[in-house]
Amino acid sequence: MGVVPLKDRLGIAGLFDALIFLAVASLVSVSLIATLSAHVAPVEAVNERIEAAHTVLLRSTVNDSRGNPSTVEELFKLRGPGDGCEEHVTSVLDLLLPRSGWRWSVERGEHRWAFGSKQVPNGDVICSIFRAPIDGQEVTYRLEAWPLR
Amino acid sequence: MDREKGSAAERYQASTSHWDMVKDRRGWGGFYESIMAMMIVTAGIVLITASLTFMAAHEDRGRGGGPECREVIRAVLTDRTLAPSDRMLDLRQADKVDWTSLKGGADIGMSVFLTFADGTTRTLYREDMQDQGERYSISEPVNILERGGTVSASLLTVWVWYP
Repeated sequence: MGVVPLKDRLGIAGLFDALIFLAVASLVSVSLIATLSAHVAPVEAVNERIEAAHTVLLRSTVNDSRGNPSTVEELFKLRGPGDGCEEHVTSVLDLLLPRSGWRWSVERGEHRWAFGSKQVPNGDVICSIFRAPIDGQEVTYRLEAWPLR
Repeated sequence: MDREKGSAAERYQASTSHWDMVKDRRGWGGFYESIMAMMIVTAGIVLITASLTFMAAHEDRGRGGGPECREVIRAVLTDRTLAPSDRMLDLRQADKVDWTSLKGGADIGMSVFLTFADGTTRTLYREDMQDQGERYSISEPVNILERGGTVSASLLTVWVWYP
């Protein structure tokens, strides 16, 4: 083995330093991207999930005060909640939104009904709102959900 | 005079070639240096691509279910025999569905079942699950169209595993 020329030694050292620098730069940039994007992807997924749960709840049927099956949307649009409505809403949203706190409210003119948690906590709360027109008025269905810690 | 001039030119040439050598040792511009620069750039691209690939794979797991699991549940939700409209399943058609075709040709095991608000479950398709190996599950809210025009809320769950 001969003596490695100074030029070659400098080149190998430069290559080694550059690889170390690139490895550290990759780690830093990837961890930065992961940190920034980590907040975006789950919020989109949770938002989609809450919209889907709200749609499914509104289309599900429950017996009205006369014992006839009616969708939850129509029930609040035409009359008001009957016996067993609160139990229905609670059991459906507990099933569809596991590990989440929720509050579901309906507003029709001066009437207002609310189910679920009494208070909405501070922090990230995802809200899904459906509006349905009826006789010049508007019925607003609002589902607010948040992750339970 | 000519001798002195020639001597000065030789001295000048010798000095410039000496400084060229010094510059070449500590600077850039040679063939080997350009090869090294290309290797460094390539290594950087490879490192960043590999890191982003691993990060994407990690996100896939974080979203719940593997890629095949999401493909299967999407196939169930868009099957026109079983789902006449968005997120509405007609269980009267469940016997007519070719469940194995929903795997999309992937060599996987699969089970599909529904959980209702009263705690009951209904199995739509089931294969014997293995005790070991990678398994994934994913759930989506759906409405179930039943007899008498009643529509119930349910959670559609798909399990997928690799034999």
